[in-house]
Amino acid sequence: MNHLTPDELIDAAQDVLDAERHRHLDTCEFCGKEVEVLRALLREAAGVEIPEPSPLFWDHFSARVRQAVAEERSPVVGWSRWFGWSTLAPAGALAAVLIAMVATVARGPVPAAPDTSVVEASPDAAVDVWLEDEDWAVVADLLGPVDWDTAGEAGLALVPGDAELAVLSLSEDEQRELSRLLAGEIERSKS
Amino acid sequence: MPYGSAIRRWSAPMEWSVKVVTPAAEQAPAPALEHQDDAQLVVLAAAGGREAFDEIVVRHRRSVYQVCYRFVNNHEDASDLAQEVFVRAWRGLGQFKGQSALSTWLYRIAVNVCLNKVSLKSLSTEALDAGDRIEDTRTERPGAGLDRRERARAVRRAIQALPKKQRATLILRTYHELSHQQIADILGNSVGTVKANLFHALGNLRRILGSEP
Repeated sequence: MNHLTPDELIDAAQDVLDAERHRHLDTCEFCGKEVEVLRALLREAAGVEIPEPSPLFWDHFSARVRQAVAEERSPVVGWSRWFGWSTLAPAGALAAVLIAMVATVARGPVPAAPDTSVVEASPDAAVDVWLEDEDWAVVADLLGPVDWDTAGEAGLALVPGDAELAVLSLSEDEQRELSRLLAGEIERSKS
Repeated sequence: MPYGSAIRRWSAPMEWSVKVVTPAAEQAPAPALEHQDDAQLVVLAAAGGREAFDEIVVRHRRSVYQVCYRFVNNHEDASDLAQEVFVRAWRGLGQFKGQSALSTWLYRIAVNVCLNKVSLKSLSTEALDAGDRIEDTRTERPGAGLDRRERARAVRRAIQALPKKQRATLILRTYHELSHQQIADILGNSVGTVKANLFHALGNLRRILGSEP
């Protein structure tokens, strides 16, 4: 009969090996010894206690958690958490900042000598830059129909400090991702 | 009804006995938070009930702290990590569907927090104590020349030296008595992988401790 597999040795050490395979242990000294070693290690590990904190610690710990949780927003169930104004407002502000920054970079440096020829400026010039890129076109599609008056009525208009607030409200991972995206866009616009 | 009789009725002296019965009062009073089960507390806490969440913390703080302590082997880091676990639990209450026990869900958060943080932070001061290096115990047989306390410290350090998934598996199985299936759910592995991790964890413990019990 084949020796016990590692899975079966673990089961045997924890006394949950099925009866048929367990019979192997009656005749196999090698597997029997392996099981005894594993049992002894489990016993030894299980016997290691960790220091019990002071009884005063637990109330202090609860108070710390309470304070930390007090600084958090209430948990919102399900997808509705993504549609609250507290999420949409910074996200809208952030999207507007992103659009402005990338559009500025995409225009390139200001020429040293002013062009004296008269060119009729297109109000959609910045948006045209966006629509060349499918990724950003999604953002443009989402924000395109929203004019500033509508955004203002919805509370999405930018006021000084909104962008900073939006960035500060991001987690560390989100901030890193934002930096990565911006750096990528800047690099791409340079090339 | 003729006006006269109505006037007589209203002008007659009356004694009022008013008993206000609201629908809520007709129901049995809600049990105190400490008498509610975990599922009820989760519902209350997910709706913003911070007192209900306090009760969750009280119930599970010891086991969460112990998981964290087993990972980092010192009180300060363990208490910081345990606090982080509960803050993340608060944020994630909306995603908790009750498919597993609350304790299992908290273990999952604790393991994730510990696995992430332990790799970023330096190991505990106890583990870095130059006088207590793991190698010092390798040639000792169990119980030979080492008192029980010293042996326990050696085992703790040996556990801390295990690869992260092996350590998590050993901790959850040995100290929290979770089933292989529960550990698999927590770690996102199969039961077979959990058993393999446990087998290798014990093999590494044997190697590190230099013991052949």
